[in-house]
Amino acid sequence: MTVALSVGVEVVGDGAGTPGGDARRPVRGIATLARRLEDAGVAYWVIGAERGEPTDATHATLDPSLLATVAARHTSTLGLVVAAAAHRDHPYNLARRLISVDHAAQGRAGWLALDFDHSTALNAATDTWAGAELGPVHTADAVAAVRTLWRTWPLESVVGDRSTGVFADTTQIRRADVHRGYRIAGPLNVPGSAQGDLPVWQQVFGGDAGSADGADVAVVEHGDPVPRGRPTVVRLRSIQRIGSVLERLSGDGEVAGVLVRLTLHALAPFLDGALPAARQRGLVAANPGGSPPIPTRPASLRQRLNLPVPQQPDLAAHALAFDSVPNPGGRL
Amino acid sequence: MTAGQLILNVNVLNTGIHTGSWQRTSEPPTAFADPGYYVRMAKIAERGTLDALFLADGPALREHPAIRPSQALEPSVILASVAAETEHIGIIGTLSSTFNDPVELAHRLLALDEVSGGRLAWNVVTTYSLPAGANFGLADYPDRHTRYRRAAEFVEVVRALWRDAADLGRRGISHQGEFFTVAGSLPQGPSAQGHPLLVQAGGSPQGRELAGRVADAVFSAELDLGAGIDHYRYVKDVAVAHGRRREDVKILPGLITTIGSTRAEADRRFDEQNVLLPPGQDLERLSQVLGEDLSGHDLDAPVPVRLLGEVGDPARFAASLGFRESVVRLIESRSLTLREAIREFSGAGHRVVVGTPVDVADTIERWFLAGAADGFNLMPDVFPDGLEVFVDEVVPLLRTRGLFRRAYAETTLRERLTGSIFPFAQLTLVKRA
Repeated sequence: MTVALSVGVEVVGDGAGTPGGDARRPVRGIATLARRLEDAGVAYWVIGAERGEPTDATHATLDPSLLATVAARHTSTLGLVVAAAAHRDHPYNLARRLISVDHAAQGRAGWLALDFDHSTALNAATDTWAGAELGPVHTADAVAAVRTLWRTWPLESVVGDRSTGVFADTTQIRRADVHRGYRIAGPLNVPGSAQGDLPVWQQVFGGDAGSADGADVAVVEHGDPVPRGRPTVVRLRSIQRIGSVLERLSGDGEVAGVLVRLTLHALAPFLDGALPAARQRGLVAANPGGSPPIPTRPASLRQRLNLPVPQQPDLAAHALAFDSVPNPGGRL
Repeated sequence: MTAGQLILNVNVLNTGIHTGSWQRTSEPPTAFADPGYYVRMAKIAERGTLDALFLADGPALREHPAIRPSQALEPSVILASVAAETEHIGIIGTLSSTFNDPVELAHRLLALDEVSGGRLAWNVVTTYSLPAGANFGLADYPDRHTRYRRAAEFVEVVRALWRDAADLGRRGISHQGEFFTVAGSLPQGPSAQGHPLLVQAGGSPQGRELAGRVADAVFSAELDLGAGIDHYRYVKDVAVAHGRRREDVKILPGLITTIGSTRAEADRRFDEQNVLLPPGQDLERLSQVLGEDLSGHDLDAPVPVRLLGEVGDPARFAASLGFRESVVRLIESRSLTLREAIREFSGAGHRVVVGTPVDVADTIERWFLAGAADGFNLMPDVFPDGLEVFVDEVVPLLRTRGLFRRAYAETTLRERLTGSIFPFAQLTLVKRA
């Protein structure tokens, strides 16, 4: 059976130097690139993935969460997946920054959880907060901590009831009480995502699917074994003969999509040539912004990729963050 | 920057400094979690040619969410949103030296400066918040001396990384200190203004020392003109003692405004807002600042003298020394009762002006000419109308008096605030192609 593959794109470098951009106004370059990807029907842009790879880290110079934010303000359907590691970043800061990007993108953000950030490692070989060894086990702890924090303060609890003077219903706000890998009390000080949680991508090396159990989507290199029974995308580092590669992957049955790494030079051949050709053959998903437009445009990245909101972590048994509404002191 | 000109920033404290602001705003309840809201406020400020948009911050829930919104969204994300949709206004983010990593923060802030075209300043704070400590697994919260030692080293590492990024030689830094060991270079080059400016916002002696030594601007809390003048001189003297010019560090007290077209209208707006305050909240705020529960005290008696002396152990004092000093000085100078002190303190330590646009322009001019301020960090009671009325009614008065610009002249925040450009041409420092 043929599957219409989702298409994510990684662009080498920051995008600030995109043709049509302006070196003195990097916002224009980033916005131009993001709109170009969106118009071509790319489902999501993974920003900063090279940071996880020692040989390519030098291409990434600007912080991915900021690039995603700028892109969010200049697009309306493109997914924006931020690459980040719990290396020099504490999970509380990561959780907060990622969900803030998601609010900027109105539910279109995701997280590519890296083990290591070679761009800013400098001499730090371990996690600079907990001192833990960096690797899939540590990343899994960080993903679990971040996911827990994302669920501590549901967006629906913000009621803003002027008749009662209640701003948020605190019976819905729970402590995080993370103890594995980190000690984090919570709650997060940002309300949760409009898309449930942000979807999380994590690379699987050597077919060890268990190492990315906490992620929504596993990433494997083209040619590596594809884990069975879970959403997986295959990273393609070349667009040579991509038509036949897409045809084979779309018939695999276990591959949900591709993640295509492009240099700026390869953008046009892929976006204007290979991608529409593959779409015409039904190998990749339709373009929600294309013509004719799809009547029900997915609102969030999770919806666009048909990723269900994971059941875990369930915080129902966690203690409430606030016992009561404060009323200390005397009335004037 | 032009001599004799005010600096005016707006502190967008979610829907407004007033606790009831969310009940008075025209924005929806979720605005505090929408970067688009901050972009809208930035565009109003840019219409009034204000210098910069300022964000306070800390990595924990600050206010009880049943009562009001807190600062929520991560500040660099808010500021990137603002940078993406504005052209001129400066952006100032508060980020803690206790709850960040210096390399990661140096990298992110330099990127934000680059993305904004050189419009960023970093407000360095050490953060006193027990909930924040619990969010970062700190078994014992570091005392003030430890926090400021870490802050000094943190700033040293960040500045060294930024200067290295502007250096053609890219030798990398080699830092070994009490808190950090860092070797190497950031992956990026300099921004249009070299690197972000530094702002400092603590009123403790250590904070003022840090400000005089390295900060381009200070966000201070002053309730009284005499104290304002003293602190202004103190920080400038520290700057001179470190070989800097007096004008190298700008002093910007917070100023809370409740504006009406007449004084009666302004008073009515003030009273209508205060009806929304939860019972006892104002007394609790003052209790926190003075470091003692005041709930059993007689409101119409003078504030007990024992609460007003020197703090026994400043290193262990569990609140802001700067805010406390500001409040104590006001209570002593006017022999206030507790009830009077609570009203004066309704701005949580910053000066409150309730009046007409002329009243607001007058007080700004008086403090500026008296040598108590180089400008202000404006804190409207409620957004957006509290900011709109300032931009539409007060700014024109300040322009007519020759105190404030009519149009933006400079490209970078460094040029606007300091009047100078980054010395790219010196030594091996080169501008990025």
